[in-house]
Amino acid sequence: MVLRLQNIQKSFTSGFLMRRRQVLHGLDLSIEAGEAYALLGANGAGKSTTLRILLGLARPDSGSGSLLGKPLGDCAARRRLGYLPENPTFHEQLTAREFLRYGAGLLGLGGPELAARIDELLERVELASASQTRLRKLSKGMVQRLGLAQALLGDPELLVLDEPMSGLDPPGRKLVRDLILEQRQQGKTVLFSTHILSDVEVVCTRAGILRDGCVATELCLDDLTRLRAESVELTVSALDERDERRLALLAQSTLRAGRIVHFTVAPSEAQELLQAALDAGGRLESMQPRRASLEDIYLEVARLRSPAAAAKRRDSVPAGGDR
Amino acid sequence: MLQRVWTIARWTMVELLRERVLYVVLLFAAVLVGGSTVLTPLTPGAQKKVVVDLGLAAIDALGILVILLSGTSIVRRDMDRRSLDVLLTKPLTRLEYLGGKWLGLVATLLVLTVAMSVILITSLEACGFGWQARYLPAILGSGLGMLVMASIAVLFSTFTSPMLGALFTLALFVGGSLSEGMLRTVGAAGGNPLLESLSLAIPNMGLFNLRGDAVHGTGVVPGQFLVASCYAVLYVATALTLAATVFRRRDFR
Repeated sequence: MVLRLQNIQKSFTSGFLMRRRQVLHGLDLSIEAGEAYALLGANGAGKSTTLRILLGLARPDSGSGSLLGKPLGDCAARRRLGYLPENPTFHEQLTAREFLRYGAGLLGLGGPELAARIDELLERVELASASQTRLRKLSKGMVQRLGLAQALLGDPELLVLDEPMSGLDPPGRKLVRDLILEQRQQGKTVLFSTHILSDVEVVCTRAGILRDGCVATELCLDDLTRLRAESVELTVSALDERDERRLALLAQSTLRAGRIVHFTVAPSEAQELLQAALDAGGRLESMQPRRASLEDIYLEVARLRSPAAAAKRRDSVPAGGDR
Repeated sequence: MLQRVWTIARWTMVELLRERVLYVVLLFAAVLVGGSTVLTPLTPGAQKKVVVDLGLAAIDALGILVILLSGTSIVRRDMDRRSLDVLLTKPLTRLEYLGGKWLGLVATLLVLTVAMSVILITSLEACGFGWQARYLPAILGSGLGMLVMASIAVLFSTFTSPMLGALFTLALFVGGSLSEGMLRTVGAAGGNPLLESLSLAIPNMGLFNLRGDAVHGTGVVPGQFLVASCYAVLYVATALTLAATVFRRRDFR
């Protein structure tokens, strides 16, 4: 197991009156080697706090955990991980290349191969032309990509990314997605927090949704895409209105656009409706299963408030299961 | 460990030098040239003393200015821009980080002091006054005072905002510069135990002010410099230990 957090409680004090606010309520999380795990949740759900506890930047009030086989906060484990914080600005007076050399110095990297490694990383995050530019002159997205390059400097076993897509334009997001996929292919483990659910579906093996300071639901995304066909959309042409009315009795909804008719039908009824449409002289244009997206499940979990609703939800999520 | 401390110190210095110190050196040159031009005609017969006194005072004041501007935010800035998160998730202990930051600040002040001293020497030579070795202890005294104030600034930067840190550091500097005189006055009036105990916590900056001896040519007694050095080492060690204790316990949000 690459990392494990067990029953983590964390609260912060804030304001003049030092009011205490509980952020994590008994959070459990474990990730195996080679996984790409996304931590989802609304603002204030505790995603960044979870990552910070894991990295030793904050200490839990109670609970235990391990990172790369070492206790939380262990210095040696940090040699094997790379981290990108949320919305960094970094050292504005240093150039992109100097910033990477700074990080390399702390990792004990040096020698002639370091320059080649830095060149390779700058090339990979498409910042080779800005290598001598000071960070204060770089755009937010460029700094974000540079942060990713520094996280990859030591060829880490575990990559922890806090909102890696925020502030990036579409090509930048694609670059980050590709990098995460590359890391997965190399057998590395990636843990990241994000709000951009479409990216999660593309790059992750598992996702956990944080709500009220604990992992409310865990989803195995491979299972999700395989299992959750909620309806099927059939598009048929060359059907007359009488046949359309007859077939509509089998469908959940029908919509005609010129010569084309769209039927939305339950998966169990799809075969029968298709056969009937073909028998009536119709021609199949397309047939598409409509799956529950991660967004649907995310919104459903985010809506849940009462324990009863949580129990109801637990019965209906097929993949991964609730906690 | 030393390599990591050195790495932090090196890049901290590079950043500080690029940020403000160049402007401070230019300001120093301007103060020296401008001040000498204005003041020397007003003090016939004592022009040399005025230029030396002004130069040494400016070295002291501008060193403190850099500490207030950069030293008091040295940790907080790293927190705000998320550099601290990146650094502390490298194989680096918090103690190494803090030691590196302090060393980087001290190295910056050293570069600054050397640059300002060179300007002072050049000005004295250019005006035909000549540089004398007795000015050196005054500059070294200023350096010791900067070491102490730098460690206080780093201590404040571990737990408070740059503005409050700068206010507290300035208050300690002013209090520390006046404490000797105040204690003498209070002692002559029968003494005040509260003020006397408070003066133990406030850095006695008067110990590092050797300008009078340098300017008036009375010379610095070696014992005086030794006492100042030992006091500075003790004060720096105490302030940095406190800073390390605070910083080790901090949570970063």
